[in-house]
Amino acid sequence: MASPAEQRVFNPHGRRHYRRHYSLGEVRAGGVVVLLLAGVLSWVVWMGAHPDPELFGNADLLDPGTPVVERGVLPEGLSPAGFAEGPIAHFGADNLYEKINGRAGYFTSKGFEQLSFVSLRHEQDEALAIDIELYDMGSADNALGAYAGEKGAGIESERAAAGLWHRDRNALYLTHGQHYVRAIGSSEQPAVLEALGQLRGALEAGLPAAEAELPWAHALFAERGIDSGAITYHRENAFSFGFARGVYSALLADGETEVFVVAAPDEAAAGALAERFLGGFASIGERLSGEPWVKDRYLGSLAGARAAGALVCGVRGAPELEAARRELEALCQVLGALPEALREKALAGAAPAPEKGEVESAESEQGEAAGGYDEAEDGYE
Amino acid sequence: MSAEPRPVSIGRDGKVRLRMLEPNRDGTPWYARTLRITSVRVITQASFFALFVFLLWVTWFSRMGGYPVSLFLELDPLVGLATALSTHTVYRWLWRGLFVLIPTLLLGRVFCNWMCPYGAMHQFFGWLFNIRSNRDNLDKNRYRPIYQLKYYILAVMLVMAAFGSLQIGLLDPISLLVRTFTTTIMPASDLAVSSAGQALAERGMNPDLTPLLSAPGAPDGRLFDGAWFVGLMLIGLVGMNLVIPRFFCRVLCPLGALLGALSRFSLWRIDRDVTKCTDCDLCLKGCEGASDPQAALRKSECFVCFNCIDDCPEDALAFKLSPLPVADRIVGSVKAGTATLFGRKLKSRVVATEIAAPDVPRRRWLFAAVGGVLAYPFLRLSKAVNDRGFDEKAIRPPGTVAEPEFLERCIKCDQCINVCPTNVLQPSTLDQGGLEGLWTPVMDFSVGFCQLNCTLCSEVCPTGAIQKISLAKKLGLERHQEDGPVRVGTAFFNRGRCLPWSMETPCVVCEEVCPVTPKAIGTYDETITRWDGEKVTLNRPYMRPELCIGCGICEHECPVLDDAAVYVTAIGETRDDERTLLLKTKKNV
Amino acid sequence: MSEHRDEPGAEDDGRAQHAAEDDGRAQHALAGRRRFLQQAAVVAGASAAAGWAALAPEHWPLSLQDATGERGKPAPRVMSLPDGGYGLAAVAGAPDLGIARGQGADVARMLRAAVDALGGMGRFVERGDVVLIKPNVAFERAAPLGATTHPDVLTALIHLCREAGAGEVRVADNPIESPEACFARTGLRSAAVDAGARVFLPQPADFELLHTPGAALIERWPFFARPFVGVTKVIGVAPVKDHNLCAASMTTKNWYGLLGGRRNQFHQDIHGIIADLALMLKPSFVVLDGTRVLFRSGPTGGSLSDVKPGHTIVASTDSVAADAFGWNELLERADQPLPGYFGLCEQRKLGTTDYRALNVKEVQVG
Repeated sequence: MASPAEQRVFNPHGRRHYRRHYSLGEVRAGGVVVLLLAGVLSWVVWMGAHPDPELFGNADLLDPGTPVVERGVLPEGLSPAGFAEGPIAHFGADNLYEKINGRAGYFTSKGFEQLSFVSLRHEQDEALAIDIELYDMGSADNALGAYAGEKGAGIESERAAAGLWHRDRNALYLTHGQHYVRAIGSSEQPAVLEALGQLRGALEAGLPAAEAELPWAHALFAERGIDSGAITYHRENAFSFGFARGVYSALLADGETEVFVVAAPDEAAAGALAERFLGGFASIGERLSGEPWVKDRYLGSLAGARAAGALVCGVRGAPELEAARRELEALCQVLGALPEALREKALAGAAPAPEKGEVESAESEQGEAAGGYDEAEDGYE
Repeated sequence: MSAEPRPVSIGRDGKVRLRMLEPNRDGTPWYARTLRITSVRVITQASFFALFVFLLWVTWFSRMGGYPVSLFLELDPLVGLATALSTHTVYRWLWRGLFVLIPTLLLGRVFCNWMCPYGAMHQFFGWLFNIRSNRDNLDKNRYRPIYQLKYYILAVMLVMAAFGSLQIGLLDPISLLVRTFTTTIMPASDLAVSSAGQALAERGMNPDLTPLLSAPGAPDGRLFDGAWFVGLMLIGLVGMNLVIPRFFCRVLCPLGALLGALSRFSLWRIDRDVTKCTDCDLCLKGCEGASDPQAALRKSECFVCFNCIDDCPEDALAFKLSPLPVADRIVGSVKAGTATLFGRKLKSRVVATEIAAPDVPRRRWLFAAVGGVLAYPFLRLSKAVNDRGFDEKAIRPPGTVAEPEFLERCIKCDQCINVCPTNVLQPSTLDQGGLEGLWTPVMDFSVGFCQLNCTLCSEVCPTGAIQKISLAKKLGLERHQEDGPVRVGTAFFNRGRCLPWSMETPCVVCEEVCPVTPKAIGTYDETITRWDGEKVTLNRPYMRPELCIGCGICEHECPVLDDAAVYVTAIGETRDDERTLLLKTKKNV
Repeated sequence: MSEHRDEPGAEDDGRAQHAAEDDGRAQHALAGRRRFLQQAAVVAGASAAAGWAALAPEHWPLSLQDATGERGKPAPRVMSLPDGGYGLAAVAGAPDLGIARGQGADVARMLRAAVDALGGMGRFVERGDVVLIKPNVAFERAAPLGATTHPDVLTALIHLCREAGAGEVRVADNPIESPEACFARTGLRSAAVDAGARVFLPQPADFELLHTPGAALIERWPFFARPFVGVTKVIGVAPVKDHNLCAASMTTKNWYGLLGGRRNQFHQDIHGIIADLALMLKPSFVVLDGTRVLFRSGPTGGSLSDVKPGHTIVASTDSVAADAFGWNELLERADQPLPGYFGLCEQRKLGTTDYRALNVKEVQVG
């Protein structure tokens, strides 16, 4: 049996103690401690009343991060009435395939530098949208080249402020200086078509200013009655010839004959270039003796080239020799009569012809396959 | 001793007398007794304990304001020292440990008996249930060799910390107490308050009990994995006070050991006047630290509670600045009773007055350190805490640093778990964290989910194991857009258990609750002819892993409760490049 | 003992001694008997009590017997709401649908105009009424995102109730996400508290089984009962939202937030559930907050571009009619068939979708 003392539950003695003397010094020290305590507690209270506002912020209303993506050359206020912009994305040559897989090679071969992409969505009708792809092609020639290469047959181009444009069903195509724009609507509803119209104005007004005049070859071909929209620009590797750079070509109305012009640095170079064209044509055909003409071994079509001053003009794919001669003659005449200003422009932009024996540029993929093995990297790029 | 005077008595003249207001026999006024230093100490202890509980109470979404809710953890110099050893840095507010360190160097282990809420709790329960006679008390409060154990614990833990495994939180008193409150005491009190509210409501009363709840608005009541073990530790450690007073503080506390080791330098200490001391040993009656004030004072064990001064009938004890040892000034023979000190006769037969350093031989320090050296690889080479073989449910809260750095920082205090508004944060069991990660925070989506607009766990973490992140950073907005959101894991579908996929039953709760924009859960919408011929449209869900942040609300809301048809695992977390899932979300840092 | 007595010539003091001894023995024996009787009584009493508790038939008082195991199961406390709900008797000639429209008008004025169109708050709330307002606080979204009731509307509604003399105004909802966070970030907690209402956040003990006679799916379901103790009027106030599963979430779907338990099963028959909700809670009236319309990405929203201004507040005694109005004129989906739950509600005569046939009063504000 436990003793009565052990039957207790709680301490029976409270704060019993045995000292006999007390000191006021302890009371004073205690006062200091209590003051410190009061200080700590008031600091805590003050802290509590001053919260960090960010801690209880609301992410829904945070800016979802527009500053990270620059607009680049995309003009401000691009959206037509009723449409709102989605996020902007930019792509360079190394990741262009992420955006337009399968078509990236086309643009890079035409001098692609940057793609800026933005999608416009209709504010009320979610189904209505316009995807805008703005390609910076480096030069007006390249932009027009990319433009012409994508244009469907039988569609007339119209002159834009600094380039060409046309609309094909629910899509708008436009060049402005070195920029090429594809704006593709989700449908052919009037709201979209109207928005595309507004978009063209906004782009022309908002894109960096560019020379209004088209490249020299356009004026030249216009003389021959060829529409600007039909002109193709081959920055490199024209007709699969590694040496052929900066070539303008256009298909004639018969749909087979193609005429082309290219500028050379000087007259001698022009003569050599014309010869190289003929040599190139001859690799799949036979040279008509004494004449600047080659007959295709398989198709029987005719191709020829001639120098006219520092410029070279030519015809290829012509079904019939006489017509081809006439065409080449006419072209040469126009070249000869080219206004001085245009001629200077042409010569200024002329690519020095690559020397024989130099290694072919690796980036012109087709050049390698098409007999360009002996052609050269000239290193001007 | 005669009977205790009553606190209140009525004299023969009919006047009410408060004992606390009576003057003392030595002629000093009443307040010299009533407000003596031990009373001030009790007031201070009570205030700090109340502050501690208050700060845990405000560790909750609607109350937090700007309160320094982890103040006690930051004041704990062991947290600062150990994380400085493991990370070579002092995080955010941990410099506040100086407020404890410096007083210790001046006054000794004042923290233990003036500030430490856990110490106050042990002292209170030890006092409340102390029915021992004086003689028994003197015995219980003598120093024992077992009190060295805390120094070994400290040495092992500090050596491990230096290697990068922070284990002080297992026994650090503040971490231990915060964890105990979070996972056991506060949920238990909420249960009590909630039940009381229900009982009152049944009787037609409808009082607002919200202020009494630690977690108002937690709709299902909070529950914690492994709370039973934390609770068992609480009962065991508090109960041990009846066997050995201040058992935890004297035997186990690594913070006490650190402060004890430091207090050898303290300028002040309790000093015994050998010309007054009669060797009655009454000073041992209330000695909290078992520091032998009746003989050579063990500075490293003294809690500076001043109970010995309170109990000395000879006024032989005092708290003095830099007292000198007197043994070599004694003239005459102590044995023969002829000894004198500065001409005054010695009464005490024990002449030594101070033992400055902890009673731990150098050899044992060394053994303990070797223990730490060995413990590190034993723990770290377990599977759970490594990049290979980590548990799929070891899902860390957003802002958590990569696992090796996390293990250098987390002190298992569970403040993050306390503040979590949805209860998703749980103390890890051995399954998810191994022994090294025991009680560290992991997310359990069967209990809660990670609230999108919330970064509170990163705010309260005292050591940066969960690094403070802004909402914009958590969600990858504004200037963090390029980094993308913080992902804690990735959700997967178990089509075999999904109602639309395998049971011809419409559902898609998961898609509805997915909080990210655009949603990380999409649906394939199909109309099928059911087994009974009825046509039903099923929205069959699928994951878009690049959008999923692993918040787990889909798993939490999935009606397939026991083993959800959509579930989050840790893979894909952005805190560590080694644990990403998709190539494109890799940061390559 | 007897030997002593029989011995002849015993002396007085010896006898006295004997007598004292005898007396002591007798007392001892008596004490022993008393002790025995006491113990026996305790044993008998305890056995009888235990036997009674264990063996007495179930209907006898103090019986604990449970032969089948059924008696030991907890009897779920089942509550029910008042017959006829919190609706009020129709007032002859009073409009059923009040519509207030206003471009950029003050929300409080619009709400007042809509309620006045029904006959004013005095028609519904009398002095001393305890009014429960049920806003939609379902998600942790900022107010402008339209996923929750707008705090300005809630404030205005509480003010109207207090003006009409309501003794107490309560605001309660059981959101899907953390209730604390939802009430705080939607601004509805401060709106309610500042306007003098009491907010009820759900606690585990706050739910009781609600018996809804005739409900197809939720005849007995855990109900957020605590805020309903002593309530005399109930007003629902909901935003206009698109919904991924049931197409539109307005005043009828709003009662979802009064339920607890396994709500994630509701998606398996959401239209049936909403029809049951309309049956479960018949409010005094409802307010459809059409000041902003979450016209897509509902019910959560999350982007300001999903929200358009609606410039309308509707008050109605018929939540189905209010919702049908919202579908046609606020979500602007008159060209699409009404979602399935409208038909179910109409079949059960819980309201009408043909709101034009009702007594409608439309006012222009500002």
